[in-house]
Amino acid sequence: MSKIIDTLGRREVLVAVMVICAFFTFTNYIFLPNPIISFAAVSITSWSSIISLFSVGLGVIITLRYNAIKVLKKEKEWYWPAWFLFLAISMYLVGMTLNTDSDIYAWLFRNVLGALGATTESLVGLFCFTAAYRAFKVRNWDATILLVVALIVMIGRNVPIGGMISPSIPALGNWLLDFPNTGANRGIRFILGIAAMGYSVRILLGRERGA
Amino acid sequence: MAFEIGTLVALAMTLCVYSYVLYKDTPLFDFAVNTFLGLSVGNVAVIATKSIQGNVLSKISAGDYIYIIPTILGLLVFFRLSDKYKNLSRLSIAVMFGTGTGLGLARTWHSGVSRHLEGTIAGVLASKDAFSLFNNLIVVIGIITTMLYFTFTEYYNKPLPSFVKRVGRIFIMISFGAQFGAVILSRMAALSGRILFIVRALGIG
Amino acid sequence: MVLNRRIIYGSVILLMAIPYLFPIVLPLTISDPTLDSYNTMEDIDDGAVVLLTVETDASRLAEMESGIIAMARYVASRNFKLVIVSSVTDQGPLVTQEYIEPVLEEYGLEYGVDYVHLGFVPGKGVAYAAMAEDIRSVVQKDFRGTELDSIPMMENINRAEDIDLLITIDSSSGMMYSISYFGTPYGTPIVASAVASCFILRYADYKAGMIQGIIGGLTGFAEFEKLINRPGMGTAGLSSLTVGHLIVLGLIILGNVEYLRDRSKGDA
Repeated sequence: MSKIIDTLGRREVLVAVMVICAFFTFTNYIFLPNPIISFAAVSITSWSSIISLFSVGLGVIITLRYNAIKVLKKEKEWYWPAWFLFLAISMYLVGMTLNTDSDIYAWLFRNVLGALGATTESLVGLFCFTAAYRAFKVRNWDATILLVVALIVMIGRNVPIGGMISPSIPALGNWLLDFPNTGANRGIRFILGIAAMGYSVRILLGRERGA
Repeated sequence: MAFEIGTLVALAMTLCVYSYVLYKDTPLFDFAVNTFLGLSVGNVAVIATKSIQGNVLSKISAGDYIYIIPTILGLLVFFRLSDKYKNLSRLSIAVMFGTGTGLGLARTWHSGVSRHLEGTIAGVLASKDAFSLFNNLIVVIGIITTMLYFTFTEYYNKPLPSFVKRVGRIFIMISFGAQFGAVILSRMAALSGRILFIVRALGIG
Repeated sequence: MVLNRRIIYGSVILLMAIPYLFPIVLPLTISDPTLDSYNTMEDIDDGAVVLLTVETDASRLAEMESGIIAMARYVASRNFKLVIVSSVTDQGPLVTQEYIEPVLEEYGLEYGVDYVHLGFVPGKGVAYAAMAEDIRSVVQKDFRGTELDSIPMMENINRAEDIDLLITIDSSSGMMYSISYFGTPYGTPIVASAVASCFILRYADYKAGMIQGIIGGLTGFAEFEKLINRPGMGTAGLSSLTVGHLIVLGLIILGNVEYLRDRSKGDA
């Protein structure tokens, strides 16, 4: 049994599995569909989606285990992990027994989870103000260009005030977005795309140690 | 003014989070963070379980026995928790990796590179007047100088005229400036939305 | 000058609340990405099959809520056959349940006849690729637990070729996967309603014609509300947003004036 487990975990076997999966999905996407390749590609893709479902479950279990250990060992401020576990399990039980369209589940989502999530996100908005005062300084020409463009986009495109001052402000903002920004963005995309393709090929050839 | 319990609770949660910035790091904030995390994880677990029940187990019970294979592969993922049998989980991860890599490779070329190349060339060829040609050439110069800025570094000992790198850097700064402006809009909108909720919850707006 | 951050935060919250107490209507110009989105959707016939991907979670609701409601109102008024699914975020089904379905029901749409909610399909890009080839390979039952084959609306809907339009409500990577697995290989027209940070990242895709239109950020949602003649939270939030931007502008100028003054003192 341990021999089978070791064999399944060998680098050569794993690379072979990866190459087979990648071959079918890549070929189906790029070339004209062939019934056999198409069937294999669709099957492998749907299987991969199903495995992802179980991976989500693994993530949940790891998180619960991590917090449960903290509670059992009575580490510092262990009551917070305990509260976390209580809520996670309660939410799960409510969702599975009463269903997600029940009043309780919807109430928890809207008034607790939704409120907390949205407020946490809005904290970054508040931090923008202190950052604007303390960090956004014109230390050199690059920072100056960045800041000037940001201000034109903010006033010209984000809010109507730029248009109320002068129509050329939103026009300039649109021009910056349409041409220089698009050029730079595409250049970065090409570089990242070619690098990603090279990295993918290295993974499939088994040359990437970290993967 | 009549308060709904739900609105009161949402308002209380909002103020717990804001206590961090308006006062200091308090147990109220820790309470809010752990509540958020607990409910999020619970929700993830519910959605995952329901998806497995509805889309995997139901297929097998309907007679589509080939789905036993991905179910077994999915269950192998849990061996990651065991030090002794960890290797079994690597097979499932290899399937996900291979599929993602194959799709990513195809996707990156088509959507990441070739369509943008087409768009750039088409833009230049379709220029109707000198101004639009100038604008489209700006895009081309931006692409070339940005790529050269990243590719030709000192490491490769291929010195570029410094003005080419300088131009590339300017284009990159313009792009970052535009992204910065958009992110400010995003964050400000989130804050504005929350303030609207507080105003409505207090019944003053 | 050192400004206490609590004073800044408290003042900002109060100042941004004022426009909600004393509403000001600001003139709004419709931008090209929003107009193109609207025109693309208008060009699709009533009763067409629309895949609506909801890729936003609770954290982004403060920004996205106005966009979600406006889009829900529009698609409901057009009698599209809606197939709603989420793949990037597990909270998408709950957002659909709480914010989109009530609007659809308000417009008299019937579940199973006018719209179907498929729930969460994990795998992100892999899920999109699978759904483009064969929806039933990854989804057997809808979010309510009903077999897809027993839902009348889903009879002839199974692949990307059966979809006339893809609308993505996006706060992460919904646009990227829509373009890669529906737009590029199958030519499915795509319209997005996205947070501003995603809007700017995908702007080059919009300029290249890979996505037909993007309604980006609260400003974009306000523009869309104006186009569909249903002012809502987007329009209401515009003046508060303006106040916030002016405060940021003022703080940047103040901070830089002090910095340049200190730097010249240091040089002198």
